[in-house]
Amino acid sequence: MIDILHHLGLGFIHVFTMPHFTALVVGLVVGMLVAVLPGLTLVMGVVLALPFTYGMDITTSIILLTAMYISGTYGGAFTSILFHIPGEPIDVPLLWDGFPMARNGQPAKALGWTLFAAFTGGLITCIIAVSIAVPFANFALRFDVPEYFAVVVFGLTSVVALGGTSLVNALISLCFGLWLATVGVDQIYGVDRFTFDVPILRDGIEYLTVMVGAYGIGEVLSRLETGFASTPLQAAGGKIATELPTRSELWSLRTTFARSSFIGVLCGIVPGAGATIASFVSYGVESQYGSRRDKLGTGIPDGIVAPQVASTATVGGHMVPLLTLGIPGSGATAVILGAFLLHGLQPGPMVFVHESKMVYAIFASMFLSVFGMCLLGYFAIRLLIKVLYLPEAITSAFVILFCVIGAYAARNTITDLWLIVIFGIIGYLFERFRFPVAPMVLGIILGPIAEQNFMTSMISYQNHWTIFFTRPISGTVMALSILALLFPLIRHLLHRRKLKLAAAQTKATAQTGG
Amino acid sequence: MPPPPFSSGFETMDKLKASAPYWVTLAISVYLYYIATQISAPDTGGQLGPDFWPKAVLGLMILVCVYAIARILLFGRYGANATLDDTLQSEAAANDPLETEAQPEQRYPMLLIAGTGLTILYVVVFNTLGFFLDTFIYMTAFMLIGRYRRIWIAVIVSLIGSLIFMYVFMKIVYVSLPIGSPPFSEVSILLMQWMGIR
Repeated sequence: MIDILHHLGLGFIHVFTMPHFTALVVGLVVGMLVAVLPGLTLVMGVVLALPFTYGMDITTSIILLTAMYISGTYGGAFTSILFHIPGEPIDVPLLWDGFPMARNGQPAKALGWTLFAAFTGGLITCIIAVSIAVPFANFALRFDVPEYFAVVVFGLTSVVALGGTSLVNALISLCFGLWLATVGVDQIYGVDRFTFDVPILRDGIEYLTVMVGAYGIGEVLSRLETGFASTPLQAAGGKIATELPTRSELWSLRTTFARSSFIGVLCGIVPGAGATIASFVSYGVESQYGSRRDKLGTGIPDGIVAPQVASTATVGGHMVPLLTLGIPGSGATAVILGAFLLHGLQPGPMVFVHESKMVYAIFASMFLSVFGMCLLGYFAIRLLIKVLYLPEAITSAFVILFCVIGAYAARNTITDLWLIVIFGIIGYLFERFRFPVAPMVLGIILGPIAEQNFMTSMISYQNHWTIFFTRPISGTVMALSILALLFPLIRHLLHRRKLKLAAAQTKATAQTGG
Repeated sequence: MPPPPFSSGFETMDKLKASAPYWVTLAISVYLYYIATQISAPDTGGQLGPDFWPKAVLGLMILVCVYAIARILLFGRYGANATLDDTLQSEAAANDPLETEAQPEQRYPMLLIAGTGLTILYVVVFNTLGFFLDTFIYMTAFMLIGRYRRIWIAVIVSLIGSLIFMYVFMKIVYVSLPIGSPPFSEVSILLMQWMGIR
């Protein structure tokens, strides 16, 4: 423990150097702007920032992206509470109590509760992430190639299963991403695969191109089809300020804070179960077990604290499997993994041995990001909220410009521009036909790792595919993967049972009434 | 009880429409699988060759597509599972009175076609017009297609945006953006001289 604190202290010193601290501040501001701006999503923001990290050193770039990620989970709360516009799906539960509280004449109080909830969730997640990362990494040091393959499979299957859309569509998206990763020269035999005699395809398809195209241009095209019809602003009333809750008010919600933090961290650690699920589950749990569950939805702080604490608490949880195993659990962490790979570093347990200075600088920056985003939220929100009035046609034109430059800057070739336009159209089609983009992105990033570990395992164990199931760790992880794939079926059965029960209850009530 | 397959003309069309994305995906994956069988594998000494992994991935994709098509054709949409998104949306609607009042989003396919065409055109003339002129024209046109009607603001914002991006990426980040072919390159060269870009 002392060792961890010592390294963390050094990490703080490291973050306070000029380039790192600048990246932190810029990341916090941009992350919050992206969360507030209409038509922009948190993941899109992180993707668009990625090309700007080419010239930075790896620590600076990860600090920038992580700061954006953390402040992005908080920024959308303002628009939800004040204007009934959820910046991200994670902010939807904030509409149910945050907006009514603001409409009841307490917008400053609602913002105060959100601020404190984000602060608590952020702080707890950072503490837990720092505490469990090293044991996690030490455990991962025992892994051999079959275990790595199993872990990658678990990461992919859980993202597919918990992704929100149908399992079939998510699996197709994943397979498409895994196939894209095979384009180019094969790593083991040096043979061309799917290059179609196009020289540049021998280098493979850059995952950056896929991400920028699908998340950036694809999203803009989807919004363009709706005519950039943003929800009209309907201010909840009162001036925009923040009033922090008192100590006694906070103490009365201690159970909600603890419960939601636990849910958030847990949802963060499980790949795929991200901030949106955490936020909804936490609100749902509050409505089942909260002491004031009967008043939920009328504008009480419990309904603000539960989703906000949980969504911010996922960040640290996501960072643990990312740093210790190289498995991203969400779109945003997939982009952060992309930044690691762009700088030639594969996250994993060895990173804690060889790059501990960088790892603890990232952890320290997470702590500082939590403080920074709260300060920014408290002092600068009145200014930041003004971006809501920017026409979406203008912001979208700039998004495309960022995408184009980002794709072109990587290799200075027009082919990459064609590729981002193609992936932009594919991203739009995915969105249109409800195929999730995240599994495709994870597929193209994790595909080469999965293939390499699979092929090496097969070579090392004489093509015995059962090796993945007979070794204790890989067998357990593979069993978890199968469970993850069965999860949608279980959820569907539970949902049907709930509907049947509700129908039976309605029928019984009608009969009693009759 | 699920409806009988192909019970009426309307239902058949409905089912074919619903399964269309999967038919397209199936056709693409079968074609790619065929390409994968053509991968020239060297002597692998009894080990799995370079074609194994792509074949496994594409094989899984084919299986999933066949399953999806069969599910739609045999059970229509009645067999579709309630997804997590559906659950979250129904929960949102149940909790939020304003959400239930919300109207379904209107779609403008012509805007989409115009925007996509413009973006393709942007790439086509990227090397001819050069980064600055191409970006300036593209941004202005995109804003207008996006139903922004203050033309002068669109022009000024596009001009400033293109200049800033040109300066930042050519002068600071050292990205070699295209200057275009004559006579359009004259504009880029003039601007580069003003900005001190070599």
